[in-house]
Amino acid sequence: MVTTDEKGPLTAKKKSVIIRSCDGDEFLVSESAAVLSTSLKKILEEKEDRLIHLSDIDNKTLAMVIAYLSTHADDGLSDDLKRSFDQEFVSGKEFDVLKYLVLATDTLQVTCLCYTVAKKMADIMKNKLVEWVRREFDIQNDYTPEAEAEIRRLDAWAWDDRQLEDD
Amino acid sequence: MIKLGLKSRSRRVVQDSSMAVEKSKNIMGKNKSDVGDNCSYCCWANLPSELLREVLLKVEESESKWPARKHVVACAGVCKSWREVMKEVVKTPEVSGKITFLYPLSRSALADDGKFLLAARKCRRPTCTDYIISLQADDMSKGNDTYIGKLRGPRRMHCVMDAIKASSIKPGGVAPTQTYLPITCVDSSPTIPFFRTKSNYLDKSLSGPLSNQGDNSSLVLRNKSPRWHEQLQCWCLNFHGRVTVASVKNFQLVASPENGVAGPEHDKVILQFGKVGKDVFTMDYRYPISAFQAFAICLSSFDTKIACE
Repeated sequence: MVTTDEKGPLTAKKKSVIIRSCDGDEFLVSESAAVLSTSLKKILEEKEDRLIHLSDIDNKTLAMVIAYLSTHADDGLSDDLKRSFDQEFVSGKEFDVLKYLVLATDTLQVTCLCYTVAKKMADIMKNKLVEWVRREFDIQNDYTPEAEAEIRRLDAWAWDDRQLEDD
Repeated sequence: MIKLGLKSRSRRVVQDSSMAVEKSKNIMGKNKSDVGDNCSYCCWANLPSELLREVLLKVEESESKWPARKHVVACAGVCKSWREVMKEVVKTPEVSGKITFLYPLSRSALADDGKFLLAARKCRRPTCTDYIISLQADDMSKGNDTYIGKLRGPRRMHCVMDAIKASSIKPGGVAPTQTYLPITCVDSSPTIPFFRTKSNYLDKSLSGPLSNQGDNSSLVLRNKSPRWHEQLQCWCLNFHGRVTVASVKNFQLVASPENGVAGPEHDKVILQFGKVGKDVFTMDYRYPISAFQAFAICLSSFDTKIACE
């Protein structure tokens, strides 16, 4: 799969790079979009190579990140449009998808996307059962039952009328 | 070809492709030969701590407005390490202006992040109610070092905070650091109600020899006047999201103009208090009043509901 965000033929001014996901799909990305990722920018500064392999980002996640980068690299779009794109970008996404995205933003060092995704994850986490959070994050509960009861007793107001969801 | 094999920021490495496959196997502890059908690089349990922090920070930020920051507290209940992160993320109230971990100890207590601020215990007396205010929640005895003051709340209260000059709210004004708070009370008239309105303040100052006029006059706080809300058909005060439950106890105090001439400094809310849930209230205060003074004033609204008189 090769996607391109370039409309015309490549010019010297608008250079492109190919980014390959861990499952082998390749994406053609304009350099202006790629350099929004601090990691990719460093690579491009150091190497002439135009093919970058990302060994820990799958094609679905990479496609999303590239769509994000390309939109944000587009000088023709106003900041308002970009902001609404950001909102649209994360809305309706499953928690799982967001997890892969946030890891990818960490790998690629795309700070603004990291914030957007982290925000969305935080919004989803709210009003979820603590058990739900533990399950999603694969966290071992290291509180003793007594300690947990004590925490809930001390901050009873916070637990009382939480409308908890466990889905 | 260049390969980027990363797990966390601390281990970020950029390698040449020739070495990358082997190295990334070691780094990731995963067999990359099955890449394609299984990109299981994402071992969520080992979420890089910076990312976890980022997500929890967003939970914290999103609750900058009350109702009570339940989600922050809930996240701290997930496991010990999350609690530690949450404690870090939650700033002290002096910085953030938010009080998060409220501990319902005795009558009232304020705490941030498990850090306890002040507590008060109610002592009913035949004619009035005392609140013993202490730095410690479990020790309310008067002889103790942690005892810092007492609030006596009769039906009408005369509360003089004469250590604060009215000029303190002017540019360059100062409020002394207070070592004690003289709260006196007069049960019967003549009395100067502490929460007086502008109009009766003027009456008093015109009709009676009110002491301490001029440069040395005390700062007088008054209730901020509510606005009539056309749509809701009620009187409203803007608490900027910090108060969520309608209650007679909700109030905002502003400085009362000294000579009836109101400046912009008299619009500034110095203390606001209001309900956010059952038995949970928020208190926001600012210069020139201290935490103790703010707490004492708020406590008074539990007993006398003087703020709505």
